[in-house]
Amino acid sequence: MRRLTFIALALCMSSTALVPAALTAQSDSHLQVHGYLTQAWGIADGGTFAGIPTEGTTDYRTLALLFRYDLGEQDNLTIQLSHRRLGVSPDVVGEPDVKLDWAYYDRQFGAFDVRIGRIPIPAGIYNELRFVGVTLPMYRPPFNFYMEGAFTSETVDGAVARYTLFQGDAWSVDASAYYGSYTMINRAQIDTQYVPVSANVQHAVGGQAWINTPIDGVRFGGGLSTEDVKDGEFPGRWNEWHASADINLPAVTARAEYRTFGLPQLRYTAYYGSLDLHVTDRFSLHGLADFADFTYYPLPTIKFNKEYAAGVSFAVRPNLVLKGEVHTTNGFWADSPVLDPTSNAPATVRYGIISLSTAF
Amino acid sequence: MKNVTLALLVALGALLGRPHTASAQQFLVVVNASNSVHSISVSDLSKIFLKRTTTWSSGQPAVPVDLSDSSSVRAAFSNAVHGRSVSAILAYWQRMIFSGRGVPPVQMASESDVLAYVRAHPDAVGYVRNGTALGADVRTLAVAR
Repeated sequence: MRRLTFIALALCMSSTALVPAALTAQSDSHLQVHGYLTQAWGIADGGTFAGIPTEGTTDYRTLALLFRYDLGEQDNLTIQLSHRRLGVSPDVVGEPDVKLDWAYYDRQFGAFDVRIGRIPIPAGIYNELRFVGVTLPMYRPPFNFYMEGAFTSETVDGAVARYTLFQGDAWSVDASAYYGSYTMINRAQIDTQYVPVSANVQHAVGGQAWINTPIDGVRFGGGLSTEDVKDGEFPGRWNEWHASADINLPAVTARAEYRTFGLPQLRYTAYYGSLDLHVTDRFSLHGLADFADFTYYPLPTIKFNKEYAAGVSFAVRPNLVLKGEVHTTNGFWADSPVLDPTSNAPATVRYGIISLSTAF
Repeated sequence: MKNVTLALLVALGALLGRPHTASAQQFLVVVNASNSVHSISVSDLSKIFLKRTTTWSSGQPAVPVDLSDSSSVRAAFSNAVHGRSVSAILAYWQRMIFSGRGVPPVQMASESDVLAYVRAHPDAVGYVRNGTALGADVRTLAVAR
């Protein structure tokens, strides 16, 4: 079955890649269909990280189909179905092969935009794009900051409102706010294993603002959120804030983000800086330094995890990108070995990923 | 030290600067003859094609139409108007599509298709190779730097 799935995905990827760009261009139809696929091979040394084992895996991919139907000039319906494989990660046990990722109604009132349904959460640079390989410098956004599988959600069931202030001016502000609920996976440590535990998040409220500067591609942002987390490993009211700098120029992309969230008795803080050099239109070099600290009061702050990564990418076409990357992590985020940060020394796990991403 | 400073400034300029490698003379920006707007700045034209602005200065909705990704005229337009390569603009649209924020302009395979589209849509704006016969109901839009 797995082999058949892999063959089907390979055929899908190759057919997408071979379709001439002109044929994938958008027509004047009310219905638009888009999709993306990233297939990867990963291998780790020293443990298992983000589902990548020491023996290697090709069971590592993200795929989605997005359907957008324009009901009129001001409103549309959007549905996205997705599929994800994360190697041997304990965080995706029980995840369906195909899940309803997004389903929302979107209505525009001039510079004001309202969505109702299951909606991507506007949070930071990457949250809404976290699985779209062709838009990412590496396989995934910085792990310590965005995580994957556990303690995070890409979407909210509720409403998102956006407003663009000074639209069309040299300086403008993209503001957004959301309210709703979602379910996320937490990790529970039982002996020497992680077990996924579901956490229900209620009354999640958040807002974010991006300031767009007169230099095209340069923007700065920040946001706040609070949510009532039921069950899971850390129930209670979580509070969070983050700040982002996004400089995306023709020859270089530099990004940095800072995020801190937690309960009164604990706090998780993550921050990273990344630099991408676009050597040519097709060939880029990527570097990343990504850190996380964890405090469980009154214990002292633990350097929970640090990760350094370097990668290269080659765009065969704008919608077909080949990437290679190596990562060195030191800390407590590895799937194995499972360590208690209060009594164990951090573990070093190295891993590499080769991936091919496409989109239409 | 001066040379280092100068080199840094040149490098910064290269990074920040828009690569106007193509002359605006390589293409004509075209609109429907009924459009009341007769000139537009490069900046505003870029915003319309990136859908950052959705209306003309007259308040009418603006409907951009692109040529296919492989068109040399599109490459010239992209460099001159957006200051970015076609690849960079496609990457921008991929980010917009997959964050659910928008979809790119309608894309046409040929310049005659662009002209037909502009002829049929009073609010449309497109571009064709300089020297192309525009035909009835289509006129050029002056682009000011």
